[in-house]
Amino acid sequence: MLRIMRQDLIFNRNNLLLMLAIMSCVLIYFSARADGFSPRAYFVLAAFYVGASMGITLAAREDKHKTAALICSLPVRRSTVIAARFVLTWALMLLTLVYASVLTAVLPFSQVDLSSAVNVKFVLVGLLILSAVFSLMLPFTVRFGVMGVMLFLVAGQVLALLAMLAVHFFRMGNSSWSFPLRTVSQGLRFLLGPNSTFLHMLAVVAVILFLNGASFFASRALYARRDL
Amino acid sequence: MDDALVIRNLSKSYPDFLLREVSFRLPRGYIMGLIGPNGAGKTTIIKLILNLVRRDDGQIAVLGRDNIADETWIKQRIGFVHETPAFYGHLTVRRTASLAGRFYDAWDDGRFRRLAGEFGLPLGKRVGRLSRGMKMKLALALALSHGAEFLLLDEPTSGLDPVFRRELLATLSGLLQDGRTSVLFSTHITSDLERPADFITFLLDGEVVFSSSREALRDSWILVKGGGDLLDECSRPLFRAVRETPFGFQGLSSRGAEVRRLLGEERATYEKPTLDEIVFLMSKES
Repeated sequence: MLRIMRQDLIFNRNNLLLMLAIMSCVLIYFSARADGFSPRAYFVLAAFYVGASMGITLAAREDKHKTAALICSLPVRRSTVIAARFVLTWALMLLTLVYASVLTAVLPFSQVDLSSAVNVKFVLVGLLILSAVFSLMLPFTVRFGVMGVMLFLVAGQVLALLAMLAVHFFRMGNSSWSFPLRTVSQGLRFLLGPNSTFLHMLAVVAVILFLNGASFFASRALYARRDL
Repeated sequence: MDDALVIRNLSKSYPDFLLREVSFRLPRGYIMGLIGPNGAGKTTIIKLILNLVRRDDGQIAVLGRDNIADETWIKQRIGFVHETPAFYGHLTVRRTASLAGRFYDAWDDGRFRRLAGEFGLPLGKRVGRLSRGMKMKLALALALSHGAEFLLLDEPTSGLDPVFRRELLATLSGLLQDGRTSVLFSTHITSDLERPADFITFLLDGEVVFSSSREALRDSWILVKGGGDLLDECSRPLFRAVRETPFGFQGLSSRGAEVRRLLGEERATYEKPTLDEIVFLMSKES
């Protein structure tokens, strides 16, 4: 597994460096303008950005260079390839959180209060949101490659746009249509608020593990069935 | 005899193609040519052996083991060259080899460098800047550098210049001196197989037309040439494939004695067909 991770890092080195540069600019911008921007959202944004980008990068480059056949002709099981990418993506996401924290601490003009952001609750809720997106996205990516990523992103944007239009033009903000969104929003606020307990955080960890486990097994099954 | 490859009743269906109950075997230490026109199913079989595509039915045993149950064990011992080698273009030849080499227990870096030198591969050049022929050479060097006991070569000579093609074929013959390396070599250039191949398997529309040794193949088929008037209701069924021209006909038959008895020695000519003629006539008939 380590050999696959190393290979993926080397294959995608230039893109990762490019992403790091872009992400640093985004982080610097937001840390300087944090007065109107929640540090919680700032952290979630940073982690989500890298998580999504990693998935897209690995799939897109494998699709672009048609190298899936090369990797799968090496003496390695397909399940190991997926496991390596899963672990690598998570390692990079966690490293990004650390990098964001260090950058925020070092920047002299940073407006972000690290003590309020680097908090078990915020990090866990951030990872929960990230897991929800990533666990859905990975199987799409594995099965359909770049097209799957595009499909996922476009479908997400179209749904969001439709929801906004519905709320704006048909005054559905308080209707049953928006109930799921309101529930999620209220749930996240509760988890981040003072009333959430240690047990709630344990439940969050359980959901994170479940989402990632389901995503991993689905991705592994899809990759094993994929004809290259 | 010990077999390098045994395929039994292998089937795979795609929306527009069907590989039907393919069966053949390759004894250890020999070269088999997998021939057939484009779209016959050659690449599909090689991909099935490597488990790059999932089989619908049948069995594949490589070096005596099931290709799925013992996938990694088998791949440690297989050298593979894809018809369109895919590499990461920004890596150098040296870096590509070093990354691939880490996956093989028996990787021999010295051998890779020696082969790269023989093939004229610039180690410091980026793979993306290599020509198609050079990429094929790189794929070959990688496949030959980990002591593979079984080489799977999918159209390895396509895109190569005639000089290197001859060198490659000589290299393959040389590899077999140890008596343990076996080769499955797919191509639609049948002349590549006239000399090195010990066995020939001919695929057409996803089915095995024949799979036999080269000698048996040459002995069992006969090419008949004669005037068009010789083809009638009695003689036509004796031919597996017939090509008619304004000047006469060419017919391929595995029933040489019967054809000679019916047509006589004077009105028709009889030759041992080349591999190219067999493939051409059968493909035309199909």
